[in-house]
Amino acid sequence: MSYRMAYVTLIIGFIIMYTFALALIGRPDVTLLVVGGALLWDGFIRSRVYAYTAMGGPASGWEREGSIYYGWFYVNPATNKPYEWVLSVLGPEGRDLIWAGTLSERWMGTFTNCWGWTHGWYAWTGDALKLAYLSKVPARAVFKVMTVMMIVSISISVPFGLLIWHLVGAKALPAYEGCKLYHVYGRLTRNPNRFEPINPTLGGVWVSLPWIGTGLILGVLMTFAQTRFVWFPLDVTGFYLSWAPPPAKYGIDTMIGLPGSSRC
Amino acid sequence: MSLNIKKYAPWLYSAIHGIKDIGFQLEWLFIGYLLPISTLNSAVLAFIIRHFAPNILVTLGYPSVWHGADILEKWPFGLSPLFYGGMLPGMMLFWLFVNRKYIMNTLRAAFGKPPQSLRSSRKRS
Repeated sequence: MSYRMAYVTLIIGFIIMYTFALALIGRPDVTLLVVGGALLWDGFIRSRVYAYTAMGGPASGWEREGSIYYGWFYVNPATNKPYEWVLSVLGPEGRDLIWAGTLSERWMGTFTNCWGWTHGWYAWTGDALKLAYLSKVPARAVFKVMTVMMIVSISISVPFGLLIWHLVGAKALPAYEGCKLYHVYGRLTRNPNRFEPINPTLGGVWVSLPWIGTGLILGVLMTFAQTRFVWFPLDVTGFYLSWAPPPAKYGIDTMIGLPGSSRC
Repeated sequence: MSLNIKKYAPWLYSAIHGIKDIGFQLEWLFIGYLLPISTLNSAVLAFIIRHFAPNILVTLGYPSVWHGADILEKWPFGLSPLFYGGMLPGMMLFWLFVNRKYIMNTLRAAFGKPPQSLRSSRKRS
């Protein structure tokens, strides 16, 4: 894949995703945050955190990233319910969906650390063609194999994913919670009063603008300082591990004490 | 696994403002030591802020409303919009700013007008 084709794919993909999301959400400003978050923000930060730590999970649910241990350990596959000794700290989404979620996530996931609809297939394609280039394998041959595999994958992965879900008795598929930015702003849209507004006149999702502005300045300054000074001891990624809702389960909070099992 | 201390240790819940669940997972603690030092520093600092700041505010007379995930949304912390809405895009924006020439040159090259330096390096190879 040439750079030109990569950028064209990215731009066209962005337009398609924006149009689709706009039809669902209805607000151009919120849609921009959602799609931008999916393409750039979430993918950017997750790939970096995962590269550093191998524990930047894509979701907060027990049924998702890195949770195959939990899935096997806590849930009785015969009943699709947590064992009796499991305390009630498991969220409602974990009670009957962990087992199916773990299996189908492993089956349908396109990349360890990202979603298919963001840059999963994109990353795989780029990786494969780059490896072909480095190993002097003809790109045309790789492309043919990939095309066949994609067609085969499309035809079997979704049906088998659904089959696994229904085999274990799941009545609803976990279609909620894709991009975390969507989730944060989606909650705001549903319940603007959830965030106590500093400036109530802003209204809607923008009640959190003072926090967003402060964070923006902090993020830029911290990244600048880390780039400029070798000795600078802080990194935005560390705050991600401690503060952001999803990795709170897998970050330092999980290591030594979970102040909130922040189910976002 | 974590325990909801409001249910299992209410005295701890009322003593430490900000904490909600507590757990100890040794494997994640070990993995934490593999982090780059600046990342680990930041994670520990953020963890300390998250735990100490609510207790300081309660000592100053504010009501205790920052237990668990509430600290992500309640004034004055708002850690969720602070990080997701601000710090994370700030990190990305700075990366875009620093790499602006590289990105522009890549775009130019992708659409048929590579900069002179890239053309000459291609010829050399």
